[in-house]
Amino acid sequence: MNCLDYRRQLGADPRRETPEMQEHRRGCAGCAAHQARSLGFELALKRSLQVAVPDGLAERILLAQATGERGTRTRRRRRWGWLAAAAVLVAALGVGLQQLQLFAPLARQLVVHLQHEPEALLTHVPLPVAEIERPFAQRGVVLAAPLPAGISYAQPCPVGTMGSVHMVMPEPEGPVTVFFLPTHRERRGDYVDQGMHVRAVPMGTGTLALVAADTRHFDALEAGWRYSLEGTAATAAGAP
Amino acid sequence: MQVSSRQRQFDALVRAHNGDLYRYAYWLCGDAALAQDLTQETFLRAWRSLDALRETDAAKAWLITILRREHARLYERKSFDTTDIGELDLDDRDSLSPEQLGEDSLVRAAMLQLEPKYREPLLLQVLGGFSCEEIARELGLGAAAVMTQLFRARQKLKHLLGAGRGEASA
Ligand SMILES: [Zn+2]
Ligand SMILES: [Zn+2]
Repeated sequence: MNCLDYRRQLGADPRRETPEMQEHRRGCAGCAAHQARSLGFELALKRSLQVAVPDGLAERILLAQATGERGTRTRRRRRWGWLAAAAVLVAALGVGLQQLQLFAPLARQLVVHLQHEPEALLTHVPLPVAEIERPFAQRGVVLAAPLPAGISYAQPCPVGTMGSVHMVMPEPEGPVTVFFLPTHRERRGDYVDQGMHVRAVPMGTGTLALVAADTRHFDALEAGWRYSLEGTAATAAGAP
Repeated sequence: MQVSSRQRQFDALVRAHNGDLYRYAYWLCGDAALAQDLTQETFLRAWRSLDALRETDAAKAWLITILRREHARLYERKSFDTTDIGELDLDDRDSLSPEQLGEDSLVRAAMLQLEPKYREPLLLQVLGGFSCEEIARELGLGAAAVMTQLFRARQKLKHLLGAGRGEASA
């Protein structure tokens, strides 16, 4: 076995080392170091993949199964009626805890949402227009004019109980996160939460929210988004 | 009043595998809300065909197969209706330290950039704990092809991470 074979096999399955591989590694300092790095990488990879599992997921699945079953097998209903009841109870408890977060002021919710989605800020490459239009379509939003240019992230995210389109616009001074909440009406306001500036503006059918480290682009972005969502001239932002 | 053994089996299945399935779904679609839906739909399908499952040892592979199929279906269906999955975003990534969060989020972003043909075997191996032979069976590929994809997947991942960090050693 040579170094190339060793590294190929190790790269395919770092946790498994055959006796031949072991023999090679013991006689080759380069591959021994390579293996140490590989195992470190493997550990980091495994840890990164362990995203948090939503609370109460098992209970919600069991509840869905129990209620679905009730519809189709009325005769057996009584047998596991208790299960549905238990699941409802657990689900209700879960909801109670979430509500603490769900009804926090909007600015806080947006900042927290952003903190939980750090990967949103990692790319600066503009998305194809179709990929940005898709979450808007999913949320039932009809755009009045073309979207602002340069959006690098667009997901139909839940923010508390509200549906949103969560986007990122990478400005030279740092990213601005844009949320459009199509069914939520919020009064106009500027906030600071955990060092982040947040602006909420009623727009279209709902609310546009901008989140960034500073407010320098807020006026221009607000005007641009009003044009995209309402089709009105981009000059008098906030004017009647 | 007793619960059927079928119900008991299902209960155990959900409790044992919901986490793994959710994570697998999350890394397939990169969306927490969608991943919850996928996980739930997978278990509901599993319930309907529970009799097909003979040995519990095979349960995880079986569930992942259902999940992968469900995911494929979802993307064939052009417009997926997300109007009522908007409630729950229950991540608790803030339990991680800032450094961990930083490094993890880089790896996570890189993972989502990997093409599915590289991402999937890697998920099966790292998350699923499956051997190359088992992955080959699951993906309908030869073992040698799977080995190559796994090797390339790691290379690409390291490359993406190296590019993201600028000066880091790959
Ligand atoms: Zn060597
Ligand atoms: Zn989001």
